[in-house]
Amino acid sequence: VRVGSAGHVAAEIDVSGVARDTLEARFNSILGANGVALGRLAAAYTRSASDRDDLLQDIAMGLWQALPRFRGECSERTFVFRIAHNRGLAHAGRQRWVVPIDQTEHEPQDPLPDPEVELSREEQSERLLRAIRRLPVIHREVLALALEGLGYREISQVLGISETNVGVRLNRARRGLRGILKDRS
Amino acid sequence: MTHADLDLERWRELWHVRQEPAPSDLRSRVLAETRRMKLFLVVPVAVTIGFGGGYLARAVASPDVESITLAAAVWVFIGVAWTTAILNSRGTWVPLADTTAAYLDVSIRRCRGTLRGLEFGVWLYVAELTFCLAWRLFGTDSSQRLEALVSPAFVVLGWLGLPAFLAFTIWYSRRKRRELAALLELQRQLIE
Repeated sequence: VRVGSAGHVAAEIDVSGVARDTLEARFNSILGANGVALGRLAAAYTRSASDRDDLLQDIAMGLWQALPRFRGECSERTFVFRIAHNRGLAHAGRQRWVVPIDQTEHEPQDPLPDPEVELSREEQSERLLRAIRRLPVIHREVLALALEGLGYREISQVLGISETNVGVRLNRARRGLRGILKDRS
Repeated sequence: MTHADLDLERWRELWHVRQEPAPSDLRSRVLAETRRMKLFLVVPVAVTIGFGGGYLARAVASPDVESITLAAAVWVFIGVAWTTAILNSRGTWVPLADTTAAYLDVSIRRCRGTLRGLEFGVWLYVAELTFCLAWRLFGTDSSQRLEALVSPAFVVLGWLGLPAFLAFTIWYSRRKRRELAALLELQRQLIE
């Protein structure tokens, strides 16, 4: 009998039917291939390095639990990012870190001389991450996936929304991000 | 290329400047967490077997009214706890689909289930304590009643345990309610 909050865990950790060595090898290979990208995605959903590591562990746990059920219905990257995204979303909920959707709706302004030229690329990257973290989650997720290089189709598969919806959200995310970056410059 | 495309390209370059390596012990942490979860599943079963089996064995060994009543009461509490927990966890095990909406839905169900579980836990604790109190007060002669009320087990589980359990429940419920509000807000944003 499996019960209570542990119930869902029991359903997910049953890996007895799959050769453990194969599973571990596959798990390690996925982490090796996507570790850095997952780190970046986790950083977009968290506010500190320790928080990011916690989320990464949660994502890795999700991968470990879901891997026995993965039958190649989608690409491995889609599968990995879907888990990362879902865990990131739940993490944001647990941290009660949900930015209201209308808080970052900025109208685009005329392009100004780029103030970022004075900053190093690392500083610009850090500034970009901080700005992304200020976006509502539904804009943050679509933008983070686009920045990782996923196309509309892949993003729609990860998020379970239509490609049109991806386009709409990405546009809003872009507009919001541009507004935040301008506000901060 | 439009301004928007150029922006995205520039941001993509900057985004990839970030190297966010996974912690080196991530794999061992995952395996340790898996072991911990399995243990977490074993604990309620062990408690059931330990308590329920213990009282049942006692009733079988010395089948007097007291032992049988106590064993029956313990199994009623165990039965109520398991039934409620199983009913409460329905629909919270895995998402119905591989979509964000389904995952969020399950997260919300789990959160609500935890809140219901906490409320039920308080009632069960009070009911068990009341039963134990009544058992000690009416099962002993009047000269030993006061003694029973200040026995170490009663002080720890009742006079100290109940306020501590209530304080924890209030703190955890508040935390879960805030989490639920955040998840509902996320769900609202997803639907929009």
